[in-house]
Amino acid sequence: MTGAAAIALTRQGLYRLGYNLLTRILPIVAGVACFNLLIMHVMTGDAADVLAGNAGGATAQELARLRHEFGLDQPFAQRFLGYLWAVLHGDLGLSQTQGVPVAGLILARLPTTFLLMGVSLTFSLLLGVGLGVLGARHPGGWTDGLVSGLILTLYAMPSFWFGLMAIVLFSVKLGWLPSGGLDSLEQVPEGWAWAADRLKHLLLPGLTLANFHIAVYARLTRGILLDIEREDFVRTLRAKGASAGRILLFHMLPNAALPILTMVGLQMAALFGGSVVVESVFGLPGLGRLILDALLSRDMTLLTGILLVSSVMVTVINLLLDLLFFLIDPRVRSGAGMSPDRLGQEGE
Amino acid sequence: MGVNLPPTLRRLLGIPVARVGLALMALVLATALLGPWLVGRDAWDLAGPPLLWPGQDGRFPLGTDSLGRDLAAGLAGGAAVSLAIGIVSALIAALLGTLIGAVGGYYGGAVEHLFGRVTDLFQTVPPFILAVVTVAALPPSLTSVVVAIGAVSWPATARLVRTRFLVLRESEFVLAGRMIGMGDIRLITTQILPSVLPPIIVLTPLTVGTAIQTEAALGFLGLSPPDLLTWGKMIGEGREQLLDAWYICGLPGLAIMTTVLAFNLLGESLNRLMAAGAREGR
Repeated sequence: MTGAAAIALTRQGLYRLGYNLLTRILPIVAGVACFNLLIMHVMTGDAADVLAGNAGGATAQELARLRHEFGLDQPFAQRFLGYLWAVLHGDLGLSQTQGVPVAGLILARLPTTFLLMGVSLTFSLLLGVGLGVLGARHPGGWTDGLVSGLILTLYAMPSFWFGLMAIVLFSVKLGWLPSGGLDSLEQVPEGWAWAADRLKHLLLPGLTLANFHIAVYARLTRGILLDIEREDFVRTLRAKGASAGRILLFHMLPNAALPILTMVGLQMAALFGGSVVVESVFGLPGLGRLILDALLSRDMTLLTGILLVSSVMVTVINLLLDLLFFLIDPRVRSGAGMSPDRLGQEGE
Repeated sequence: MGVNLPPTLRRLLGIPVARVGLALMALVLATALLGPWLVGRDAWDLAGPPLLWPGQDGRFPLGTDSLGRDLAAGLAGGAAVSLAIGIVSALIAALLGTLIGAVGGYYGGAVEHLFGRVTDLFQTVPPFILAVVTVAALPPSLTSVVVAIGAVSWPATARLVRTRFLVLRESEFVLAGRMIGMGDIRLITTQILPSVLPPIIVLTPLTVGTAIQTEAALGFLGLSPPDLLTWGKMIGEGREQLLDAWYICGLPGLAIMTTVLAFNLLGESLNRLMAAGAREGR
């Protein structure tokens, strides 16, 4: 590809991203905003009640003044538009208990959650695809049976329980890994030592969050590989005498990449939700911990704000994946599906 | 797939995975129905010395927690709660999903577009966070937990039903029904729905499994119904003693795993049964 073509392609991809941002994020924001107001509406007691309760009670006049200040006495449609307008400007309201902007509280916690999700996704893909390859080698054989059993176990295991048991084994009994937190308590080393320390702290949480997703990717990879194996291009490669490892690594797995990455996008919401529980198990200062604090103080502005931000993040990650497909896969660019003859051409 | 049970059950028993699943299911059901009676002790009673390990005292075969409550009684009582919440919320999800999917798929056009967008929305919002927010907003009760889990579990069913309806609404038998003057509701319920039912039946045990896990995670975070002792809540409370007495967290986790595995295996075997039926029919 020439430089000019690459630039044109990138520009095309960015237009696509911009268009998708508008058409896909707006409905999500509107939908979640609507749900949030509804939740606040059905809730026993509104923000004014909570504030008044925190202040040790208030008169009816005082409550009415607070309601007016928050705009709680306006009709639903007006409140909805006002909330939507504020949200689109990055204003998610003030925390009912801490009195500071919710958006700031959430942004401060996002990096930790993203770090955990990133580590976990890496584990899920490496171990999941690895297990899938193992299972597809001899379908029906004992390795396949073992992999299937492991997949079923991982599907059924509650992640928070796995995390607790892993703490007992690896932190308490064996003393290999820290049981929680993001950094060591003693003086924080710098550079590579710091990164290694961080990774050590994220190893168990990452694996805990990954275990369900490992099962998802293992099952998917196994299925795709068994399908692709019947394709003509694989038979041709075998006939030409290409080694099994070479066919797998350079021809079959690249063809499996698109559906696997599509699954990554589909699983993003589950990954976000799972991190809430895992952060609570390992005491990581991310969004999950913020949710727990908000739950304890019944801070609904904060809770609904987190719901909105996490939904938008899921959408943004999906749009970035979409852009990635567009840039790396000519089949997506031309709008064509994964037809077998196209798979065949790529195999050569 | 025939709905008359005996032949279906016989064919089900021919699948090894199904035999394991049904055995586990029988174990869980027996625990839920007979367990409390066998243990003969209330799960909330401070019945004995605290922190007894399993097997340490014959009167408490599975040990006691930090308050001296019998873990066997807690596990047995939790089985019924888990099953009830899992099954009821999965049924709500199946009904909601079928309704939304059927209406969207049958009418097509703008209706389908709108319902599709709503389904997309529910698949984008992290389901667990949505469940947490819903439970927190509603008054703490069993109903709130069931409603919250049901409300986040329907999109998979809706997608499945919608896809089938989009195909079937163009089929000859539906056109024929329309020709003889059948109304929409009659066409949907008596003509199309019966042929969409088998895949819904296959999907529902898997929904139950997910629902039980969601309930356990909610309980772990302290969002169980206040008056019930659930497996998730037992793990959440047992966390304080994780270092000295990990069995308090360990045992309820095994119970959750066994129950979810039973439902997943059942769903998996029904799936195989249906696939085999489709092959025979071809």
